[in-house]
Amino acid sequence: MKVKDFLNTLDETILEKIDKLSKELRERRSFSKYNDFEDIVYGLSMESIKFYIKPVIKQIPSYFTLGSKI
Amino acid sequence: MNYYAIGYHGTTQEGADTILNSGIDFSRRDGDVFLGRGFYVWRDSYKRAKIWNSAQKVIESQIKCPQDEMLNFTSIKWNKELDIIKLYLKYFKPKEIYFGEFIDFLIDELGVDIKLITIMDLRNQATKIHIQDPLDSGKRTIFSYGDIQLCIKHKDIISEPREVDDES
Repeated sequence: MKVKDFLNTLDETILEKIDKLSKELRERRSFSKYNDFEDIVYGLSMESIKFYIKPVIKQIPSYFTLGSKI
Repeated sequence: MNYYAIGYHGTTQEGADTILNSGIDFSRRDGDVFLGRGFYVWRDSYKRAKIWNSAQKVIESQIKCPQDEMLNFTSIKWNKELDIIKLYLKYFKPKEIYFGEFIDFLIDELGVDIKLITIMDLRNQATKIHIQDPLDSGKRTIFSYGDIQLCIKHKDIISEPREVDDES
């Protein structure tokens, strides 16, 4: 499934899958501490996300939220 | 439309031998917290690959990937990538799921076709160079450069790897 198709067909069933994934990961992770998003995805630091996202949000009135699909 | 790149992967002598003799193992680094499992390369940057972990050997390969089968975080013309980040931040991060785990979950559990991820390396500040106009001391051009990292997740988008000794 293409990324765009996936985003267009998102529904509430994903929430259940996220819960399941979260539980599985907690059990199998060899490391115990969860670090913050910025520390891990350094290429997507919050500063860069804010920089890029803000102008886009202004251009798209119904900016993507799962809430609108669920 | 396809995305094209030449990628460089720094590794040990043993790692290079394994890649060249047995092929690339795309399941390596399962549970990687950065961009998930895959074969990581630096775009166009032999030297960056060479200094990565004091690599002994550098492997070069060509990448060709349909743009709708990749996540390209290097362009300001983000579209689906912004939605992916929003999805992660809103629903996965609060559950303490790493970004790499999130990406592999999309591929493995939800069947999303992601064969390649590209991302700017912002750990090191982009290098800026000021070039002064030789005819006008008041004019300057700012030039900057930075590295791009690729996470290759599927064998179909990468050519036969080869060992290279230098940038030529």
